Amino acid sequence: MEIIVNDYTKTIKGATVLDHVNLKLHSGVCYGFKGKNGSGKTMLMRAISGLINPSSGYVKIGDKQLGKDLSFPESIGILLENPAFLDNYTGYANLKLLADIQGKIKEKEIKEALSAVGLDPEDKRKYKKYSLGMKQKLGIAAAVMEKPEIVILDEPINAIDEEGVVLVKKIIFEAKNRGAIVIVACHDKEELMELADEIVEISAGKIVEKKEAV
Amino acid sequence: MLLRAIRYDLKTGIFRKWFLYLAFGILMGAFAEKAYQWLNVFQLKGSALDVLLYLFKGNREFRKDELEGFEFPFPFMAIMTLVFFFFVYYVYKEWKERSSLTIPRFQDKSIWWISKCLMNVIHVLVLLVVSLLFVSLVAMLHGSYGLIYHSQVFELLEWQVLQVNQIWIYLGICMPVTVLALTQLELYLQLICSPVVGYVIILGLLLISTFYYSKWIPGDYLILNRTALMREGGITPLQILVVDGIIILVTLILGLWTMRKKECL
Repeated sequence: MEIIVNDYTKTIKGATVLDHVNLKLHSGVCYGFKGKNGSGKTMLMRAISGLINPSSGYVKIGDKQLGKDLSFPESIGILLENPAFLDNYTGYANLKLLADIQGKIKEKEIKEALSAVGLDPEDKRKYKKYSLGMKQKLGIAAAVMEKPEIVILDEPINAIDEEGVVLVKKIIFEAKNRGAIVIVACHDKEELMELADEIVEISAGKIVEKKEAV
Repeated sequence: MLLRAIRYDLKTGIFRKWFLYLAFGILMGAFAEKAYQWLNVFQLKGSALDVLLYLFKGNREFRKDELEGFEFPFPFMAIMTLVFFFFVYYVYKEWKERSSLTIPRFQDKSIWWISKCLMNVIHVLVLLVVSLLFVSLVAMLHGSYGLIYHSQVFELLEWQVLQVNQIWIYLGICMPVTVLALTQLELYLQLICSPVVGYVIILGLLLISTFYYSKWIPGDYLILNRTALMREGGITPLQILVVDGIIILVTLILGLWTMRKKECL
């Protein structure tokens, strides 16, 4: 599978947040989005996810154009900023609720996803009692539990301890190995180099460089 | 997918709010009890149906020449304030905070909106059942069983039900459909402005209705003495259902149109 971002421009209230972006993303590769705060990394992730509409240009997932042939990529897992899970539900109940929307996976896969990020599937604590790191891990589990073809993780290692970072790296590696397109944004340059195969540098809504991670 | 979307909304929008439905039931029960205390003074034994009619009878509109005749309907406004409180933030929060988790899973923004509208239908049915249940429970505690209309209760109030055979058309159809239409309007207002604005507009409409009589303000459809059930030349079920139907249809279509352009920012 391939994602094509073609001449994509997004203007919000007169400000150009994405400026004629052109990008091709391929299966089995992890792309690291690099850039300062407000450079357009998250906005580009939203564009690829179909969460925003272009002012001009388009995004194609395979041979289908977002907003024309389909509203959202058919198989996508997203972690963007701080996802709002339900406070009075456990981690498992929150994921079950989301998994039931598409009905692709059952209890076993949900529990596996929780374990993969280092959370206890049997933990009876409610989400509101979770630490920041646990909340982040749950967000990652929600993004990957259905084994989507596209995985988008915005700052996945924020607030996560060292052990958790190792697990996140493992998750990204596994997603790549099963042929998913993985997109990661991260402030930590070293971590990004380690996570990604290719680095896409964004500045002022433009792609200024695309190179292999060394 | 629509069925799965409705199931999601039932879980997050309705089941999670069980305590609000309970509070609504208790409020209805409390007002029913108050109505029975009043009836007991006159040694009248009303049924649950009489009490429901009494609770939603409402007040006479404000008339300049009858300043003292205006009585603010506290029970009516208290019940309605709670009825429209259930989903004050629901659509707003689901969009603003949870859309990146849910919307790509729904695969279609239209389904997201239609599901919210269908959830609203179920919500109104639950409200209807809860009202009947709690008022009937209080009626049973007062030794009254069944849903029979007693004209002497309303003679005492100097009101009369003009079309006894149509009571359930008003109570069971017109009022729930009006709540449905107004809640859907409230949900739509959350999409285009703030949740507080939506709630205030709905309560404002109801407040205006308590003072003024108009066939075009839906709040009047929830006050039985503005309708043909209790007033000569009052608002008929057909008028009510046409206006409510227009509100439901327009907000549904506007919602679909809004969703097409709406972005998860």
